[in-house]
Amino acid sequence: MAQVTRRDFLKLTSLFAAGTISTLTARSRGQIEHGPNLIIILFDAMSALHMSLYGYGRETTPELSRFAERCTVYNAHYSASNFTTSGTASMLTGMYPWKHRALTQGGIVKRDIVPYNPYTLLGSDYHRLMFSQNFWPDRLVAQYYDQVDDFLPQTAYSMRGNTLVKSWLGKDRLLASIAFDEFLFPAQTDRPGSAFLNYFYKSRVSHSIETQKIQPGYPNGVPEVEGYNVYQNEQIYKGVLEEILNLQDKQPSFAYFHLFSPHSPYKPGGKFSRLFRNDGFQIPPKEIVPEFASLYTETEESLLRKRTAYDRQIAQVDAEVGKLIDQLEASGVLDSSYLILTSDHGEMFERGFSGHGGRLMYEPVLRIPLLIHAPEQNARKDINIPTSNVDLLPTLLSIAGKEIPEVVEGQVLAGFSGVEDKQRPIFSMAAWQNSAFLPITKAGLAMRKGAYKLIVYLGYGGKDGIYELYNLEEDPEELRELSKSIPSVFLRMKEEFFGYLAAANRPFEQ
Amino acid sequence: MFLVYTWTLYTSFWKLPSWLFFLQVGEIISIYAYAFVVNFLESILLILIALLPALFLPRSWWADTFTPKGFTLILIILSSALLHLSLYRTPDTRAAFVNGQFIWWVGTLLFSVLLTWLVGRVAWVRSGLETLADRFVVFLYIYLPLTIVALLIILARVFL
Repeated sequence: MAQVTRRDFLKLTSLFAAGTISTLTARSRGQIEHGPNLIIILFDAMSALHMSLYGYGRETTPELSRFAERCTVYNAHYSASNFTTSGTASMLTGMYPWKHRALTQGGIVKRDIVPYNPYTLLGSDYHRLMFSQNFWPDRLVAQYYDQVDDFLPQTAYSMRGNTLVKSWLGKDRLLASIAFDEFLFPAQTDRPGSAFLNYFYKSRVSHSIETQKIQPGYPNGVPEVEGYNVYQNEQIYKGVLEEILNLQDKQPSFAYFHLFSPHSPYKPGGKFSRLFRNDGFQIPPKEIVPEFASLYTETEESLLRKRTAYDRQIAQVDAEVGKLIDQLEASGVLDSSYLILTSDHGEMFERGFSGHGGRLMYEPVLRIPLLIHAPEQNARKDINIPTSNVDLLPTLLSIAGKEIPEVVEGQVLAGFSGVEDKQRPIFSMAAWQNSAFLPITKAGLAMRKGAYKLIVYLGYGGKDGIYELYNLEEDPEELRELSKSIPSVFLRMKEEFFGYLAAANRPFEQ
Repeated sequence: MFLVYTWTLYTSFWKLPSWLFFLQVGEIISIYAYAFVVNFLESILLILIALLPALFLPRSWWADTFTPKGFTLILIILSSALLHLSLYRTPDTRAAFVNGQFIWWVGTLLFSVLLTWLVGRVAWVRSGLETLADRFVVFLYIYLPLTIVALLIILARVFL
């Protein structure tokens, strides 16, 4: 047997070390080879303007601010609409509502638009999961149900289960959902349903909610998806963690979680139910559009009370997200996954209006958070140009190395191989009184370009519409309307806006 | 059957404008298919409820008056359920709805006993209801085939 010399020993040692390093590198490359995991966590109705992360006067999001130090943070990110269906459809299709045509609450995208969604475009080499506590996103994804590997019921991890449509009628989930959840047994208590069984259904749900809504630490009851389900954020976020961890042996994976909080009714629990009490917080009084004065009449006192409840709900969501992120980090998920935190639309408590989904197109109801954590990212990167949630689909496809269809209106986000175009126009619209099959003639619309934002209310009064113009860099609160004081900017913006609208309307003019 | 199906058609007119905004005709027909199958189950359930008292009450109570009394009973039960639900319109009224259910249905039961007794006593009401029920039979020949078609549509959508 040959004797091992000192030189041979050193050679062997170095070869072993090199082998180990190459194995580790290969493993690391292996994670990239099959494409990175993509996780979207969406907080329904979370306005960026109510988050301390974005400079809000109340400390509502300390955990997200902490996490932002390791993320790409989009500081002027817009939803394409002010309510769930249109906003979410834009995020999923990469198109504005004037193109995808999910215009009404509960609406769906046009048939020829259906294939343009992350589930179909990422393809079957990804394991794809969908969980929405909200009806409407569930319905949108039901249009391509066969592209989803794990489609969780809306009541998963909640305190009341209802899996009829999911378990029996899964293949026809879209129409079964419309027939059962909206027509025969509507969740909304003020809508009629079937003549007899609806009574039994409502009784069962009501008993269930009433007996479960009072829980320790929730003096006003636990949060609910109105008239349908009650849940505790602690349980929901535990469920989200469980699902994400389960995906670790199904890589690469794409998961979209559409979580209901902080959507109304605002019912924070524990210490959060007492936050911001008598803190003297105030916002400047703002004018109501004269034509809408009879519609939006809530008192300042009522608005402040609701705003405080909403801020508390955000604070509770933030705490749960903080715990979730810590656990994802500890389990190594963040090393191999892109984590995207965002919302579908905002919420507002000013100008006599509370909530979302009306005609108004002001910043609080359109500006949403967007934070993207890339695997092993350790530094914060701020993107200050206006961006839109139509940009999310092309960005996901770019990260996954997939082709971006030309029909998509969004573009890859700056920070992820996209260009920083400061003069790119960004649109938002609420066209819920407009037929999905006709040109847009009745809607609230907004165009952000550079520092300026043009708001257009079409079909709601005025000779050819109602207009407002703001300089958001100088006046972020939208207090000084400028259409008459700088007519040159106003006319230029208006002309450009109608050029885009005409092009979008053209296919529907026959 | 007439009452249940007609109520569904009536309420569908609230939804139809919205569906026309984003659904195609075939999809709207499929929604009606689901509704008609559910309506069929509701009708069976209501008939069973109308038959239930016949098991406990003396034969003389029902003899020759089953049609008007059963019709009255179903009408009261349906109206009571719809009226009770119409009082529960927001989550704020949910607790009152739940807590008031026992009293509501005891009241409905007493009212239906009184009214079915009266129907049996007043000849012109009895014959009027019998005539009405006879006329409504014609809807059976419309709704029943529709339900069969509806069931076939659902089976095709779910299993094919």
